[in-house]
Amino acid sequence: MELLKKLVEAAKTISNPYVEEWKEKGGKIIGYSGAYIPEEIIYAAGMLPYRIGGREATKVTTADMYFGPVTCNYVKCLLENAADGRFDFLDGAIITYECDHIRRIFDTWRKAAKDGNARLPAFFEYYGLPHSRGEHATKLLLAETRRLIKAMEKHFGVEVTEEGLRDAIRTYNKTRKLLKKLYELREKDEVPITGAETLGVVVAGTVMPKDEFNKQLEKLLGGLGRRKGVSGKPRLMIAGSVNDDIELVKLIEDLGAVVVADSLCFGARCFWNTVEENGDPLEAIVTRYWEHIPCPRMYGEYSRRYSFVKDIARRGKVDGVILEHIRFCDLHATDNMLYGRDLEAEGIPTLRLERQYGPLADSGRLKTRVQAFLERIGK
Amino acid sequence: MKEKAVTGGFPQALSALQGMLAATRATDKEIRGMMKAMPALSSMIETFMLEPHIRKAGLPFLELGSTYFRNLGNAHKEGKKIAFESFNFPPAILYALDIVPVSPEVISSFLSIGMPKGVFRFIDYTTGIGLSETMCTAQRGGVGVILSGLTEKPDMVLNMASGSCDTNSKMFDFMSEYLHIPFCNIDAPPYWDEDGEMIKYYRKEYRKMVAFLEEQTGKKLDEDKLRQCCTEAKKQDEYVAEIYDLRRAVPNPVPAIFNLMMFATRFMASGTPQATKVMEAIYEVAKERYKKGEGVLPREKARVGFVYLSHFTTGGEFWRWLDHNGISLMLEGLILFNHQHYSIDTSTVDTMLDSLAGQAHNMMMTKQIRGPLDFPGQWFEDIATLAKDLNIDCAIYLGTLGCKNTWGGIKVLMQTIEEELGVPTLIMHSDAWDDRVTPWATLRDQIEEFVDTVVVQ
Repeated sequence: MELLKKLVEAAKTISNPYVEEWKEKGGKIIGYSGAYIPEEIIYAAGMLPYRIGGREATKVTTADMYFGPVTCNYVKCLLENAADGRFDFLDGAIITYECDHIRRIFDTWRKAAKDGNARLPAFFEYYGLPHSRGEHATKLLLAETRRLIKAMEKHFGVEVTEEGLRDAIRTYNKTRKLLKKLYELREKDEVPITGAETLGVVVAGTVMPKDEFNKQLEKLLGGLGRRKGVSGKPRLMIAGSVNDDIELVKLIEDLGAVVVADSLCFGARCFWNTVEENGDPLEAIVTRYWEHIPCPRMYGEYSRRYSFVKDIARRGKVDGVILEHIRFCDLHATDNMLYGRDLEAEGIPTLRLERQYGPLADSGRLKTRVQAFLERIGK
Repeated sequence: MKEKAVTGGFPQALSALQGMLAATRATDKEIRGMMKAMPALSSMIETFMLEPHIRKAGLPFLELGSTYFRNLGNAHKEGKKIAFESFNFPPAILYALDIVPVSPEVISSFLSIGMPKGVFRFIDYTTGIGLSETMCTAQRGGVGVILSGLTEKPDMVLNMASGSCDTNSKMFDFMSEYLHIPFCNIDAPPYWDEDGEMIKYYRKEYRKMVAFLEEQTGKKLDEDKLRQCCTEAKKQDEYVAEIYDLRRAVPNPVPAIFNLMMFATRFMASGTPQATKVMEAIYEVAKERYKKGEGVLPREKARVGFVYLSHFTTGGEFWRWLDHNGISLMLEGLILFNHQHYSIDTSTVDTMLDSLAGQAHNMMMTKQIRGPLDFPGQWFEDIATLAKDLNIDCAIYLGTLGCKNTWGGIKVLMQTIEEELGVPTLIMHSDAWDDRVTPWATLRDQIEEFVDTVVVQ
């Protein structure tokens, strides 16, 4: 499983061999902050979409200069990575309003750069997202996406064509379908890939060229079909706050469980739905991002989210669900409370776990909580 | 957690409040006697009734508060629906449809000012049922009161903070799911404009809400009733504009507590004649003080802009202390009604709905913290404009630990204010509804030291 190792390694660091190769060939890279930004438009502009993350940051000293005390550590780690020069390879970045924490990266990163504490990519844009669904909301988002495309075209001297968008849709849909196949393998009684490895693959897919990723994922799926699977361990699902930290999942699995499913935005929530391949391509892309499994930032959508969580749990035949949230993430903390209520009512044990993002500063506490949960599951 | 675990004395407080209102013509001595006789409410009495100039507006304000809670208590008996709604939403449209508003922030603030230990036990109640302790205390207090069964259960949820505060909005999402009641999201778009695509989007959201309300009540919006509410809302806006102008004077003649009365009046009763009466009383007192050259005591030594909140959790001491220590409260985030960006046109149903949408679109928080700090119409621009117009000497941030959005941007905002406006700033680690985070005495000392050593030189 050399290929799997290579992908997981690429997911552990901010820069990686794929990024380096892209840059060596003179390619441009655009960082984006979350799963609501339509990567396809960056791909169609001939650039590499790169999802920025918090891994590798081991402190938040610069971030603390710009954020208050109640900002989540994932976002602080993003700024810290910018301050430590780990995002210096970015030619541009797009920040969106996915939550109150991450939206302020747009303000703090610019200020840190102005103060000489970070480098700001020359192209730095805000992508405004509404919160309601419906025709007028889609129209607003479509206009915002067109504005963003124009800004990109102007800054980089590129052109986003209809054919380019169609090609992007085909490529991205292929990625989504392949990832879904990977997740289906985890639904088997003998699970051929761990949760930590899976997260590595998913994260790798957000930080390397999609065409290359698709090729490697296809090969990997073939190899996994022949790999001896894990069985007899408690089967867990993870749902909640953003996580690109493989070590968190590894910590859970090292206690004797196997993570077979998730509802995460570096996970199933970001690829479950595909883009409609007929009709106007930009409209199709915007509609897909707007209608995909909603993040808790979308209000009045709990039943859609819960129905997804329940379905994923059922498909994974899970013995329990870990509902995690990063401290200060009220959006996921609140949904997790409701998921806990509703899943328990369905007979599915849950563990609500507040955690810090980062280099597992509270790993001892997390281990104790997960161990106790596994004892409760009793498998 | 069982209902019996909560013994906030909320109904008793309301009944005592009614009693206090009977004292319209009480003398100062009698008021002091009331404080002794009702120690649990002495802070409320002291805040709104003790000083004669405050009392002139304080009594109609308390009467308004009393009506608000009485309406809530009687709603179902009178066949009316109750809407659980956000504070940053003028409820005129609800009154036009005979719907009774209840805002968790209003409950939290009233009890914080009026009750010993404020809403601590209700805040803790929400933690007990599983909500995160990092959620907003302004909401948790009121939600604790409602969920512990001390008020009537709401019939529907209107989330008006979408776009300006996730934590706030999430509580509305939660209440709908937890109580199994219908939900309507009214989304403030990601950017602000006065007459462009954003306000057009918001007007559509507003109409979506009206359709939802009609569906929930089974009633059609009555044009005449809507016009009555809009006419009152227009008068109230005129007073807001007049009071703002008076604030420019040196010394500022508007007592600090009048700020709270203004925004609480809008939150509770925008569009009602009773709210107009309070605004009129506030204006008359401020005008009189302006004519006499009266301001804070003993003299105005600093004109402070509180860029976000006041401090509610210690009775009315925050406001009284400012007034008696030479510190003029020039602005507070919650009174930024931005009346200059819209007007109320009562010609037709459409113009009235557009007007009310414009008013809501420009409410504090909804307007200025929905987008990046330095974008048009956002936090920095608003503060910079007001700082110059009102001649502000310094800027102070008081907030809540639940407010991830403002805490996420406050350091950048304050640094920018210092660099671009040359105004000194102070960021205070506190919670406006939970004095257990940082006691008022500590905050008071910090403000005093800041003003005396940094601002007054």
